[in-house]
Amino acid sequence: MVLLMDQQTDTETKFEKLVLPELEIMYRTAWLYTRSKSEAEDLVQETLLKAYKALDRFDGRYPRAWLLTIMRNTNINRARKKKPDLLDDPEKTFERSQEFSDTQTPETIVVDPLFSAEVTEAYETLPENFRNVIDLVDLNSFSYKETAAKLGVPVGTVMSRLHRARKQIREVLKEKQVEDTISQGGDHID
Amino acid sequence: MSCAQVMVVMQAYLDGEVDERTAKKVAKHLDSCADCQYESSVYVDIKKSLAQPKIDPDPDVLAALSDFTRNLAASGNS
Repeated sequence: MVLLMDQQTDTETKFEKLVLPELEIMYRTAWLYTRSKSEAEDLVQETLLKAYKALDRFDGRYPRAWLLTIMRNTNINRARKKKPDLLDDPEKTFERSQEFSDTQTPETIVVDPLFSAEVTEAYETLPENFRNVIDLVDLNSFSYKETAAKLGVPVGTVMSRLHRARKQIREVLKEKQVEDTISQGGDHID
Repeated sequence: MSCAQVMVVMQAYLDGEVDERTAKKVAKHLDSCADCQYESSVYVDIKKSLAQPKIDPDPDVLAALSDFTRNLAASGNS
């Protein structure tokens, strides 16, 4: 009895230790998939349930990759479950095709979610003047010239900040060996 | 164009900020150099990731998810 209670406490501690530091990244990724705050929360919860059930099969390495892979598969399954009755009623079909437009399908995320999460985390550690340039060029598709005018700095400064910012992100990815994780895929996890 | 030369203009190339002649030279190099092609593809993915809209999670939502995690762990229904 005492042994069982100890095992339960170990599982409880292990799960919390693995999951709690990843919740913010999980929520951000879920929001990218769903573009809805409530659906993102649901997706995270469903992912947590599946992760907990699969905990005894997880070796404890790369929890972020493990959790985001479960989330990706969960999201694909959710999308599949929502689509089968699309053709039942022509009027409803149109409404629901709008509801489940491209912004709410698994294809919304064009980059591996783990890779994207690591990039976002690295971005947040950059100095503000680097992030400002990235926001204008990468997020808002401004040209170097437009960015320079907007920020009141020479084009050369824009280039320098942008290139250094991306290289810093690249270095973080190398340190974390994120590419290796991508190439491993991880489709076996459900 | 050498690998080092390509790396110097890689970012501007991916942002569409180099002239046509340079773009052609870079493209030609990338066609025949697997290492630079790989670097280029990583930077393309970095750009795509950075181009995605971001959300600042509501602290209440994160607190609720933390509670959910703790309750789930405490339930012992693995």
